[in-house]
Amino acid sequence: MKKTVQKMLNGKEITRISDVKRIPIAEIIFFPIKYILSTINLQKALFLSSFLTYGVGDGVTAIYMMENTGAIREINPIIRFMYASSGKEGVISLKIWFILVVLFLVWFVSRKTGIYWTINGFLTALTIGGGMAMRANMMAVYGMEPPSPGSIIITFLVLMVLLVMIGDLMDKLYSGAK
Amino acid sequence: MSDAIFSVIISLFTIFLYMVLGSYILKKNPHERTNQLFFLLMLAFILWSVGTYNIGLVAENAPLKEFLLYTRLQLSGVVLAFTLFVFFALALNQMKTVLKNPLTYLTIIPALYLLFLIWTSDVSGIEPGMFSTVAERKQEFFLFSAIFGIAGVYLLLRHYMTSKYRQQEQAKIILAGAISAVFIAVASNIILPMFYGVYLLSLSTLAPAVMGIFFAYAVYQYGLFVRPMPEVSVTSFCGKECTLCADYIYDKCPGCRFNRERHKNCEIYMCLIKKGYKDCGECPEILTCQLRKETSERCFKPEPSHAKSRCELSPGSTYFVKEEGYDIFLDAVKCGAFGFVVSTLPPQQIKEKYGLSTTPIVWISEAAFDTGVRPKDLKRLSSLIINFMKKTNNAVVFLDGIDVLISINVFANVQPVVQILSSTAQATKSYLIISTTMENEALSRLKPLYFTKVRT
Repeated sequence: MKKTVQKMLNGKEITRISDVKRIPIAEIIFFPIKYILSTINLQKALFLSSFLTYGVGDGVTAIYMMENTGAIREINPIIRFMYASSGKEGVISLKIWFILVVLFLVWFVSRKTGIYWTINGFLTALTIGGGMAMRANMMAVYGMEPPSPGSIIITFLVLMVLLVMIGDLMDKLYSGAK
Repeated sequence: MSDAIFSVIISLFTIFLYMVLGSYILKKNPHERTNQLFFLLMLAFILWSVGTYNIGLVAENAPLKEFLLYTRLQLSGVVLAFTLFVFFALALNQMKTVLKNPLTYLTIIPALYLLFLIWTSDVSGIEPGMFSTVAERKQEFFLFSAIFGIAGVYLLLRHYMTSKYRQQEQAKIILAGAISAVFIAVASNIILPMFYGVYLLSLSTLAPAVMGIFFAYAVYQYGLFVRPMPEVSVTSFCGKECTLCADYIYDKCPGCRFNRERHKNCEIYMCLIKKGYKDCGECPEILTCQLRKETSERCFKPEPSHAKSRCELSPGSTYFVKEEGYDIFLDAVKCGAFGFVVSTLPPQQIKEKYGLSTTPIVWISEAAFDTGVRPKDLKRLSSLIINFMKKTNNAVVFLDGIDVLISINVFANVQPVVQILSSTAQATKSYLIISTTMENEALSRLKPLYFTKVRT
């Protein structure tokens, strides 16, 4: 008796390995993306975007900037040390570890308190902050005058307070709390 | 006094504070995982502070070796502190066992890799200036770091202020701690260097220590140390109450502790031998242990008629009792409720007299320090009980000594406390047992007000 190697949706059984329909490689590659898209909601998207901008994006552009203009331009002394001592992998692992810790704590607060829009406000500010840092790094690489770190930080701080407060207000509106 | 001596004194004071805080918490219960993690967290802070402080003291033209050692210490402190903080947050909320939680590994693996990079990287040929913070950017970097602190404090406060058990006093202490820390940090990192040209590195390391003191005080003052623990029976290793078991009632088993045949192959007994505990009451994992739950359920055969007569309290109720208070309380505890005793009798005396071993007991006494509450401190007394009820499912609180409280604080001050405790018991579906020798007439003055208030 021949062993079944694949059973089709229409009930047909395939016994030879050469008859098995191959799954296109593109489908395998895009499967995780399709899966994420099918399950994602606004908050998950914000978690992902803040990870990509504040964690990965800022880290990668900071490396690119330090390679082109020198490590001394980097404002963060810890990143500067990691770049000088361990190179690119040091910076990337530090940034990823740090963003994971921050996102974990945010997720933890979200689960404990049940607040939704306040968390979204914080994550949006984090995403925009990461975006601003990426832009400043790239401007420095291309020889343009980037905005001063002070102005970026103040904008980030104002955004953080503003968006978290708006989120807080929305949470209160939705929950009916006074 | 020169700046250097001042810096040394503040830094030593900060390190001393971290050590005292860590040791104090660990001493409260060395078996408790959260306490162990808090102690380690304090050690990481000490490492961070020692590194930061020494980088500030090293001269600009000092050899690379010196910078390198202190920078490595500082970064290791940062990485360890953040990672341990994640563990601490997980353990504090009993989110699975810390090591079984996949989130733990998301932070621990990159952290270990970072530590590896920090201590093994080749730094020969790098200029010393690369390690220290560039002076003109210190303020910017500090501002950047402060954003997360401010957002964290905001979220924390919001959680307190919107909690249905809003505790303004506790929130005020935490707010005072956070504001003091931010003020010290701003003064040392921005105001003093910019306007007076003075940079006191050690003052900035004092900021988190000040916050720690306020936080620890808030935790102490509002009884967050009191953790619910199931009372364990002395007849079994798992602590299951044998007097409710059919085998025990009908003399088929004297309790596994006294029956070698019964316990020699028991998985719980093996686990205790391995961990070196005398019973599950000593194990910090008792609340989440699946092995205990499954194994004891297989072994324990409840006698329904017997259990029903003893487990008859209705959730959310307040009972005023005269002499039989401890009996009712012990029955509720034996039926699986998490007990908490607040009494004018010394804890040791209660433990010996009523055979309680793991149930938390708070002593109402002028002589009590962290294990008790002063009779006049009604605010702390009520906070202790409310915090216990709100974090414990199936809580039973026994308040023994209301008459003493009334004689010291007068009736009109104790009455609102009884009312708020009763309403919390109702909201959290806990049992509140109040022992009193008051006659019916006096007792009726205590009760109707409460019930009238509930109706409105």
